[in-house]
Amino acid sequence: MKLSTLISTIDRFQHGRSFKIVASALVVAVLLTYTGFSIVGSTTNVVSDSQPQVQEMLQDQDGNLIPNPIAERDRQLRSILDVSQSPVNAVLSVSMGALFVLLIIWLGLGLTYIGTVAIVGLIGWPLYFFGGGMWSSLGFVISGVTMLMLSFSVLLRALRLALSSAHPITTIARNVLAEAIRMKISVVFILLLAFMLAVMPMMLEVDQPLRYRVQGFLQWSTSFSFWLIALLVVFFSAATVSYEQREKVIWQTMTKPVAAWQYIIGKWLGVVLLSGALLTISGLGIFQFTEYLRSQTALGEVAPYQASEGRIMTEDRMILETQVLTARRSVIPVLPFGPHDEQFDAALEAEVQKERLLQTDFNPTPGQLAGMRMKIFEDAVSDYRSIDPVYEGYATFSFTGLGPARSLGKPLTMRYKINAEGNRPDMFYAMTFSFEDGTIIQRPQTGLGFSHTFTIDPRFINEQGELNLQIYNGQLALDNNDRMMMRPNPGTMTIPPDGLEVSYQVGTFRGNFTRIMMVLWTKLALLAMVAVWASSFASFPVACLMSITVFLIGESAGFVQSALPGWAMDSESVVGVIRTGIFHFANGVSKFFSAYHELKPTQRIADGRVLGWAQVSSGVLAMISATGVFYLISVYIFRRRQLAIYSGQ
Amino acid sequence: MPVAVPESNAQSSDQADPRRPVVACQQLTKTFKDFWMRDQARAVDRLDLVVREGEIFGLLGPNGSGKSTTIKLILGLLKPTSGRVMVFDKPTSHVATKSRIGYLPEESYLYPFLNARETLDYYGKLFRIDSKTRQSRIDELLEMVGLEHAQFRPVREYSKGMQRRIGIAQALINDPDLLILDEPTTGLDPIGTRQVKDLILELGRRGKSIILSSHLLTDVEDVVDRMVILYGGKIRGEGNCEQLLSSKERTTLETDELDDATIAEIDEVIRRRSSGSKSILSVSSPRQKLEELFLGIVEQAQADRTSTSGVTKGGETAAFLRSEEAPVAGEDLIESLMGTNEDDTSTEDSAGSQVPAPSGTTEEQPSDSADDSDDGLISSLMNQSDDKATPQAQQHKTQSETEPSESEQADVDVDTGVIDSLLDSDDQETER
Repeated sequence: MKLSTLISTIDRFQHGRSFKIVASALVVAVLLTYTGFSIVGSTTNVVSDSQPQVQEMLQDQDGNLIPNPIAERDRQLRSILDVSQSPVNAVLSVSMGALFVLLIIWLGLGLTYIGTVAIVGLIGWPLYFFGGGMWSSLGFVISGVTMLMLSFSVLLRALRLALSSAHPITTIARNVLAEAIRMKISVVFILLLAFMLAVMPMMLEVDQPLRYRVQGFLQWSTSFSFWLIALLVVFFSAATVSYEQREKVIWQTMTKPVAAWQYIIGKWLGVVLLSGALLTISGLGIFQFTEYLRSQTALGEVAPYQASEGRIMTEDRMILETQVLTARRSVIPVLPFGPHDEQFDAALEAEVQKERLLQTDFNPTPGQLAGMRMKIFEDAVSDYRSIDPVYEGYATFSFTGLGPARSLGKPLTMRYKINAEGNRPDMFYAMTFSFEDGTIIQRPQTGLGFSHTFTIDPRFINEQGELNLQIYNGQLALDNNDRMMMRPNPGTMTIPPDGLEVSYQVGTFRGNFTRIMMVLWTKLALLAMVAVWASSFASFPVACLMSITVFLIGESAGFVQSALPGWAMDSESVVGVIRTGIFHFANGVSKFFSAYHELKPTQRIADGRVLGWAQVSSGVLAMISATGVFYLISVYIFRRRQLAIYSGQ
Repeated sequence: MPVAVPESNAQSSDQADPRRPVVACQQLTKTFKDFWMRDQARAVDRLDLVVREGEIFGLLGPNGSGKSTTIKLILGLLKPTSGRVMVFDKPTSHVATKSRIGYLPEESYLYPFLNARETLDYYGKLFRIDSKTRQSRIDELLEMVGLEHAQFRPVREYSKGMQRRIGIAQALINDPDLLILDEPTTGLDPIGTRQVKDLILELGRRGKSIILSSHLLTDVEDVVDRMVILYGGKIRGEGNCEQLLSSKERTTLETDELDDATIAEIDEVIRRRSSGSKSILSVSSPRQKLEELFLGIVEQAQADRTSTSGVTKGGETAAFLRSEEAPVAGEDLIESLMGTNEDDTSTEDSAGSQVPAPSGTTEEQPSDSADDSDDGLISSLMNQSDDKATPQAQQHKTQSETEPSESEQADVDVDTGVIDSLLDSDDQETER
């Protein structure tokens, strides 16, 4: 039998209904079997069995039974492990994989993909497992790129099938997908994305703590994917509309019963679906690899999820599970004073008088007074955050709005960072945290200049939802006479603005990741409409320039907002007037994009910070509104265009 | 909303032709401006034009005369500077009206990454044609334009002629009521040109309205019912072929071969009857037209089954485009042409070698007294040469006494057994 005949036979067979039904039944059976085994064979009990049992209750000096705080802490740690090792994650992953396989089967590609995977597996897997070093990496890259591209092509076929109805909008969108695959401009981006996603895991340093590897991978892979897809969206959206006008292909579309609004939305829909497919594939790849990394051995563990003797969990694992691969809400301490408090009036007046000693005609403008007041305030804040070892020896901090955390009853994470003595790497400071109920937590070996974490009991939060604590610059201990005394550190320590934070888990990494992908997709949809709008009246290069400008403004709006308060203004000099104008312009533009930049999806996913449904809804609504505005403008422009004229020709 | 028919033609148009206008241009003007909004070129200048239902309308003119601009104004690709244009009683911005229009631009602007089938499928879907109808029409159209075997190749690999054929096919996918063809025969070989003309005639017979724009006069002359000639954006001539082309000042005879003595005798008769004012102006042997020779060679090569790629044999007109009357098959065509050869005034057959008589010289035209005498002369000359007539001539004589029907003329069809390696090798000259 000739090869071509064999291939045709196989193709006919895999398109047959009987094959599809049998294959689907097999996949479902495998999925159910796996689910059953996962639920039965959960590994949490194994971990807890290997730990020494701690008494739940202790007797105090009066003979009363009180809860053992160590047992309570252990229970909290085990609850973290239970969540992270829950079989739900694995079952969900396998289920999604099974759905994907079912899609491949019903698209009539089952045997084709099995064959392709088998061929790639024969090449890539031996390299990966037995090659070692560079060959192992090559095997990983080959397998990774192939799987990503196969997955992408399946998704695209499914989308084209879904868009196969005889309607102008779906027809145009379907044509856009075909163009994306068959024209080089997009294939280059797609291949680059698949290649970089496959290569990125190779760039992780294996000696780093697991939490840094996971965080780094999440940060880089999500950012890179989003930016690359965003660039593809800009170039492709602009190209598909402007090229059609330039090459006059649009004449044969718009002389058919296709309204301008249908054409625009068809083009936009095609690009949005393309970006959605790319984001889905890269998101799935990132998620799967993150879960794989999670299952590796953390720093200090003897095996994945198994700390050394006597410990339930290492710090690396705990940070990974509670701060990185989670969805947490963070609270920073509130300042006990504000810039406009009366306490600063006297200081401001004194500062003005001081200037007048140097310059008798000194008459500050309101802008100058505001600047001076802000400086005084910042100095006060700096003093507040600096804790000298001798004078007072401690500072009081208050966290508010922690009522929900108290209700949840889950352990909170305290993250802190101190600067002192130039942050010498060989210096360690002792710190003491004293809580409202009298609990004292010692942190004797605190490194300088980087963050540390520990868990705290939700019982420390009072009924008003406040967590009040004092931080001592030294170690508190009882002396020989049972009196509290402090062994101070050698120098003053400063807690930087981002150096103190309490966070608590409000969701799972999986849910957070999904919401973040949704937000990224909405951003890409907005960008696509901006590019389509620009290309409805401008040539390809101008449209790209306009779209990229809007994109960069949106992405940098957060930075501009944070930098603006330091932007000096005055209205006396010409330069000052220009600076004032720039300030107001930048302020207005960055506020306009506030709904866009405040979401910060890639930052949140790397930091494990929650992006809640409320934030998602408001952000998505704002972006959908903006998309709608650009759409209406582009339809208006397009309807008025004379399509037989392009760039004046 | 009633269509505004230009006042100058309204009365005569209504009286002479009660058919509804499908396209009506009233004082249509298009002036192109530069970036600074200064007038640069007036492409169409106060054009009054009506195309009626079922009419094959020709838009003639040299390059830059405003033909394509007029078409783009009709289709809404350009907006008029002043004046108005209505299509099927609707403004050009009316989207639903476009479902009744088929358009072939001067170049085939197609998606290079789609193959022929996908291209037709795409445009068919834009018309919301259901899948079954769409697929059957695509099959028929691909067969009709001879691109069945190349249907899965991307359009960017096609030659210009092949792209043009796909362009024609996409213009017909919706079985349009109004077909607008801008230079349809550009890039086509003579056989393709012949096919296009036959297709136009077929569609005209079905009652379709067709606007045909071209600067190739022979293409237009053979098919249109009425035409305008543009120059500088203005109409310089308007009317049907008969009105515009017939010359009453000459008479052409076509006979079997005559010797010099006979010719001299005929000349003498003419002089005598006209009192010396008329005479034979020229005597020549009719030449076979190059197109006929070409078609004959192609047919022969096809009969020899020479292999080909590129465009294969063009099929009959697609079934959904055909009228109820059965199309004339090849052999029937040849026979009918043999029988009606002398009276074929608007088309040329592919198999025969007869030169069609000029369209203005059918013997059955009513004439004035001078023409009567000429007719009588012709009859007498024919009678005198009866003894030398060949069977062919006899047949011709018989046939010449009856006016060829429009349907007979229109039935003349290209032999469907066409397009062989000779044609396809021409089409292989690609624009890659």
